[in-house]
Amino acid sequence: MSFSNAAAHRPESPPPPPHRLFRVAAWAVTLIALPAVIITPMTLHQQLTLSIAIFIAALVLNRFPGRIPTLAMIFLSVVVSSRYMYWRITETMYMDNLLDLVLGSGLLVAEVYAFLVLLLGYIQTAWPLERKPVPLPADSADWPTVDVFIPTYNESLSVVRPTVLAAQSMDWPRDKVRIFVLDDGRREEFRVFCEGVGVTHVTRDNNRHAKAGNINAALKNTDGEFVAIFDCDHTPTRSFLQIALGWFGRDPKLGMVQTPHYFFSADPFEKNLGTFGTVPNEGELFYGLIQDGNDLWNATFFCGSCAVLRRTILEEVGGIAVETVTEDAHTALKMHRAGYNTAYLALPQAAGLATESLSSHVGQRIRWARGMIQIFRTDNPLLGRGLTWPQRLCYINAMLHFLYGLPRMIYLTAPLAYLLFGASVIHASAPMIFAYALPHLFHANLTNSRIQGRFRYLFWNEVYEAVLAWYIFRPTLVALINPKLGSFNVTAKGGLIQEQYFDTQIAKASLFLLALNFIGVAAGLWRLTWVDSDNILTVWLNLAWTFYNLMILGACVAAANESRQVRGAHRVTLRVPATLHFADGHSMRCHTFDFSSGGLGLELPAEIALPDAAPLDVSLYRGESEHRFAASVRFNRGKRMGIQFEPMSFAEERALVQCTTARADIWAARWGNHPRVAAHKVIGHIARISLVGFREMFGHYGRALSRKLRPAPAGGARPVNAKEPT
Amino acid sequence: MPVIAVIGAKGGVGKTTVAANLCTTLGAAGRRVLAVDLDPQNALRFHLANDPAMREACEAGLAAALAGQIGWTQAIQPARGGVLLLPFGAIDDEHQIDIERHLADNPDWLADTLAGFRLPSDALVLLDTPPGPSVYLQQALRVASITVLTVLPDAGSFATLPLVERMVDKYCTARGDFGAAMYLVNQFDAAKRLNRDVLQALRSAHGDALLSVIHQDQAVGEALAMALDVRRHAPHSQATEDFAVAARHLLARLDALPGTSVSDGFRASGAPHQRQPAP
Repeated sequence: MSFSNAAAHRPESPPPPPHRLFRVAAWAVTLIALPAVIITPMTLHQQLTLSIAIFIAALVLNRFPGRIPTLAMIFLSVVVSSRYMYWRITETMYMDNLLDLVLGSGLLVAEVYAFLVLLLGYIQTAWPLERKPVPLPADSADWPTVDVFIPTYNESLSVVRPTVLAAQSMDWPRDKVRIFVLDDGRREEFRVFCEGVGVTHVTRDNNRHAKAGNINAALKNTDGEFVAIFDCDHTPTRSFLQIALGWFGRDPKLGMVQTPHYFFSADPFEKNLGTFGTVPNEGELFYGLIQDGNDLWNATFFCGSCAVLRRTILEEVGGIAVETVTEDAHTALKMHRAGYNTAYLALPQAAGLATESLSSHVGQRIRWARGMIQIFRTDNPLLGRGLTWPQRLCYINAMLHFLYGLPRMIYLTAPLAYLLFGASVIHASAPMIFAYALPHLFHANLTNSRIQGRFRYLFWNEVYEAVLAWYIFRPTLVALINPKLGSFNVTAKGGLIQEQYFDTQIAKASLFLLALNFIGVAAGLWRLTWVDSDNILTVWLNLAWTFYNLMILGACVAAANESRQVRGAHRVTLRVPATLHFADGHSMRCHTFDFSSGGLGLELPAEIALPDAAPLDVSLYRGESEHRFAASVRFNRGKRMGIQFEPMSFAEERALVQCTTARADIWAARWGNHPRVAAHKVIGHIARISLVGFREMFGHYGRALSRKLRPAPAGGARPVNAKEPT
Repeated sequence: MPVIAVIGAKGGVGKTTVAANLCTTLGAAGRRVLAVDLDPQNALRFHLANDPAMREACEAGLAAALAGQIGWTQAIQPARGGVLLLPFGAIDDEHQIDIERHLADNPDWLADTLAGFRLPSDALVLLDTPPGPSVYLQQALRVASITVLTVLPDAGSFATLPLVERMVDKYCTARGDFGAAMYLVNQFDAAKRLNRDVLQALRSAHGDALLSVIHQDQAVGEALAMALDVRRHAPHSQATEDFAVAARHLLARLDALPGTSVSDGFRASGAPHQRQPAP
């Protein structure tokens, strides 16, 4: 039996559709009744009654577990939101002056966008496929050959080493896997390392098309049946290939299998907001839910790393796409257009380092946003051949998503239109707005928190987006106008934040919006007095909205407060048992609290008198196997000890990677397993973070101000301007 | 009344040390333990009762009781960590030959003797035996519920294993009340390639039956010199952890034994009710 002879079929799908007659009847009722429900005009009283009835229905549905109640809640949410949008467009846009019309249209655009993304999101995540791995043929002689590509450009060798060593430890027949380090930096250091460790160092004489070009050049010189691609800092587990390749045997038209990008270090949000491990991070929604939801529609796309591609299909679509800066998603789109399948396995099988600083994180997102909009412009998934409608919608949502910049900024300033200028951007009474808008918001949040609860907490989306809004607004606009403009930037890895600092550059946009909102609050308080006594309810509504915006912006400012990173090598939190073996033959059981390629931080059960630089051995464990490494004491205070590894052989280094980074057993426990948290608790948490953000920000500007106002310290030769200290 | 026999194919593998530390670790886990030294070297007492006041009792021991010189109640002494110790007793060569003849003539001597103690059902009996095939080992294997074959992770120890494995097969495997033949690796050093390879071989050969791996640890020898068990002497040492793992696995195995319910939560440190049997 050869590898890809087994019958092809898709994994378990939703329950079989009901009888045809029933379906026709259901569609008929829906198509006739639904528009009626959506467009019927109502008085305030009627609208309130209807909204409350539907919301109670949703609350009752929410008490039942399972996917059918979820689908019903999605249906109710769509009905309520459609009703709101219909009312919003037909009833509230009668503007009598230009200011109202301009500002009002802006808000309407943002709302229509949000509505579209809500609908597309529901389609995308209605039924996550939760595909399980399939076993490989029993006889490993039938397993295919695999080329492992590790592209690198300017990352340091210390970042790439663990990846290469972990790739070598993957469980696959030795004669059927080859590892290639695709070094676009053409570095001698890398060549020596690759030679020493026994993998192939590949270079080319140009850097055209960056990573995509790098991979395509390597494709020409290799011949494995499958290509596994890892970013140079994504350490695979031993099981990666066995998990990822099974489905290819089932489905000969399968072009790509993607697995999640898991990060074992805190991303800038997690680091600066102190939310690592307690709040689902930005990527968890995408890899935990969205890609899995896409998989139902055969619309999972390639994410550049931790994936396996079938060479024949990859070559048929012309290799990795080079037209855009998100070559990965574009390559998958081409495969789908050519009629091939992709698959997603929501099992972390490789882990990497998150971006270090908020600014590099922003840089990465700018690239993604620009690339997706480039695809939108040059190879729009709504147009062209080969895609099914669900595929088109999933792709279009992935692209539309990156257009959130402008709408997000509109939301963050919308109440100011009234508070500052008295412009009425929604021509309706405050009670009517409550009666239509609140149900829309409540249903959307209730339904999404049911669908996303384990992967994204309520309101966090707004924090993540608000930070990036301004920065991705410009490049996406540029790419929309001319997809060829704009340059490629590599995501920096392995940086070192020397000192705690407040990134004023990144915070600038948030600060500007903050200032506006503060002015808005002042204006609102002024309006509350005697100025606007007829519209007190409207003032309160806009003020409440402004306070909410202030809270979100406060969290954005907090995210710009970069916390210090102490050492050069990446230190990653890791708690596993370890044993110290001292030079005198004694031992001590302890736990690690963090690790880096250079050493370990240990938590001891008791203090021990041991001078700095004292030699010792440390044992680490992986399942039943134990590995012992020579080290020396770096620091020893109380029950904490830092040790530094002595130089290691490649075999030892490989063992160290297996005991530390390449551990799916530890990641899996964390990933996608967040407890659901009630909305008020999430709000409370964000509000606290926000207050800290304000404190840091005022502290920073207070210090800056006092430095400016105080005369320079003595010793400066330059004459000091006489200025009164205040 | 489950009986654990600590056995070894070859001398110097640290069998007595293992037996003593298993006793105290099981005792610390709340079990009532009777340690029986079946080795004429009479060394278990150095680990469990190295107290001058007990020297006389330890020199009499099982040998004297067997000869009818003292009663069994006098032979059994309270030892460290709530463990009761029945030492072998200090004897000369002729006396030893007599005992061995007696044991050879009475294959069920140990079974009868232990039964005569009327120990509570949750008490554990732990036997220390001399290395290699002997009449003591025969006696121990005839009553053992679980055997713990102690082995060093080196070539010599590995090669001599079959000698004792065959005996376990002969006396234990067929018995309905026999639980498991387990292995315990002593003095393991992960820094040594040979150690790792031998351990690997043992794992692939015996897998589940590997009770624990006791690491090479200075604290073990020191504990003996200071007349303490490792747990007391170096509570944070790897060896202490390893013995705890061994005790945990042993108890799990004992719980799974047919007909012996040892998990009914009896946590008493008082001496078992002894009655004096006729030797």
